[in-house]
Amino acid sequence: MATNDTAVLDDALARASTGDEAGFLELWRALQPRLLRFLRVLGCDDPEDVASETWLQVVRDLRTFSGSEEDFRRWLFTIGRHRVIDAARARARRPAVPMISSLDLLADRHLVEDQVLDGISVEGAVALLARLSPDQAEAVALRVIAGLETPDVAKILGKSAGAVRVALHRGLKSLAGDPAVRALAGRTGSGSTPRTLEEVDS
Amino acid sequence: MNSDLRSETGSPHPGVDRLFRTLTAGGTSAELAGEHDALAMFRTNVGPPAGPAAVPAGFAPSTRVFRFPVRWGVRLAAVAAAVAVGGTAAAAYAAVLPQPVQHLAHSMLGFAGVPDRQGSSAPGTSGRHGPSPQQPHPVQAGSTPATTPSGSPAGATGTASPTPGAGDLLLSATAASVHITAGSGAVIDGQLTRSGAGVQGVTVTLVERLAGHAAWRVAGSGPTTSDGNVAVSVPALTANAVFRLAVPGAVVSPSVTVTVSPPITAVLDVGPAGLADTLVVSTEYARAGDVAALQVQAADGSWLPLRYRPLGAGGQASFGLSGTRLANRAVRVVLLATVSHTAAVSNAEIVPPPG
Repeated sequence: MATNDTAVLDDALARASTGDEAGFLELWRALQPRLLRFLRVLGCDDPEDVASETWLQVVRDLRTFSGSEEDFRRWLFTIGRHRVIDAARARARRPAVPMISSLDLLADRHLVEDQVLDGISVEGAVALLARLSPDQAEAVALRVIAGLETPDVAKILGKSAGAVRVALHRGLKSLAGDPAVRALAGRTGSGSTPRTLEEVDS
Repeated sequence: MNSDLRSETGSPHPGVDRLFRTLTAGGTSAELAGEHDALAMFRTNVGPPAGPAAVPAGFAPSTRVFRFPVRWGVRLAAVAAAVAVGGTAAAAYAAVLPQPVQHLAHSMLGFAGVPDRQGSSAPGTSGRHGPSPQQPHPVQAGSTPATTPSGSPAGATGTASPTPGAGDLLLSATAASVHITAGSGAVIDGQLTRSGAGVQGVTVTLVERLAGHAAWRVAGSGPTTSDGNVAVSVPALTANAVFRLAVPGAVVSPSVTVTVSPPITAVLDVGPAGLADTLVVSTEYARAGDVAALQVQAADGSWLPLRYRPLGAGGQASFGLSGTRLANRAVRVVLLATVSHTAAVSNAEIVPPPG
């Protein structure tokens, strides 16, 4: 998080912990998108559901919370991560509901790839990050999306800071070698630029 | 890229910077769709300001958050608070959860391990409403302490269901179709069994949570047959949703997700002399701003995107086509997936040659 953002969210957190709705909404609006992206990178089947449970636990304990905005983020994402693990365990205990693999969904995946190439979307960015190995993806997501420092990421993952740095380095190296990521460098990102038929057919 | 991260790992490629900027960009409308529900949850569990911020020292998240309360129980704890605290908080939450849901939640308090008494869900009390961390998801009745403070069985208070009793009661849930056309009906099937045998004559409630919303609501109910089977219909589902079957106070099924695909139709409007045609796409149950992609069929038969357009308020979008360059080509439109619906593919149209 940028310094200005941190100061604003520190204030919002202090207000929210006393029951101020506007303060809570500032926190929620700033962190809910990042929480959802983090959950999606982890492969969560129902990120909205898990995110709502995460916030539920947060608001129930908010009055007794003491700490900075950075502490709050660490807390929020730690709960979110545990909820994902919880959901995975629950899913393992019962038959999974099969998701369909219809043509239209395949078509959508194809389009996501094209969106990434044309001008990256949030969904496309999350999909690219999720291509990493689980260890690398989780480390990069906590470091980048959650904006946590490496020692905090290490604590959450139960690893040494050195191991996290290795995962980050390898993850970034893998991303840099991904053709879809490399293609992002020169894109304008409009996403609506028509292609020529020659480009399409080539 | 975060400067600290850059110093730790270097900056391997500008594309990675671009990727990270996107990952940390402001929220999309879909990501922020649950704001109303989040605020209701906050009101219910935290309440209005109680005075100046008192920030106790020694915050130690690990002592409070590393627990695994039952997911359903946690959600119901919030609903329970709405039922228990009364006043403005409950009134606010009632806007999200209709009365039947509150009643359902109330009857499930014991199942969720939540005391049913005034003020029992006081804000900030660390959420010890659920069962212990070792307890599994409440698919199986009897795995949670089904008692209220009075010690009576948590159960079917106010429902038509006979109390099914504790023990190894199981409730399954499946969708007749896990993917349907938006606006059509969905059917959720289930079976209530005890020790492997069907339980007859119990009213099973279907609850649903629409995509992008945190609140559950009652969608219907039905009685079990002699085999313990039950089928509950939802007349018209217009957005992706998660369903659970429940016997209040006894057992809750695993969740079932049903996704919807909006109907979409493409009509080719051939312009004068066929030089400038227009492909108009119309949808139902999609939102203004959802993105439609114009696709053209390449020589190898694959479909490739040419252009993107957001839907207008009427669920329509138009694509101008060059009759010269697209002559005899097949074109179609794909509505991109959102949190509320899956992708949808229109019919294909052949662009006639000019003249």
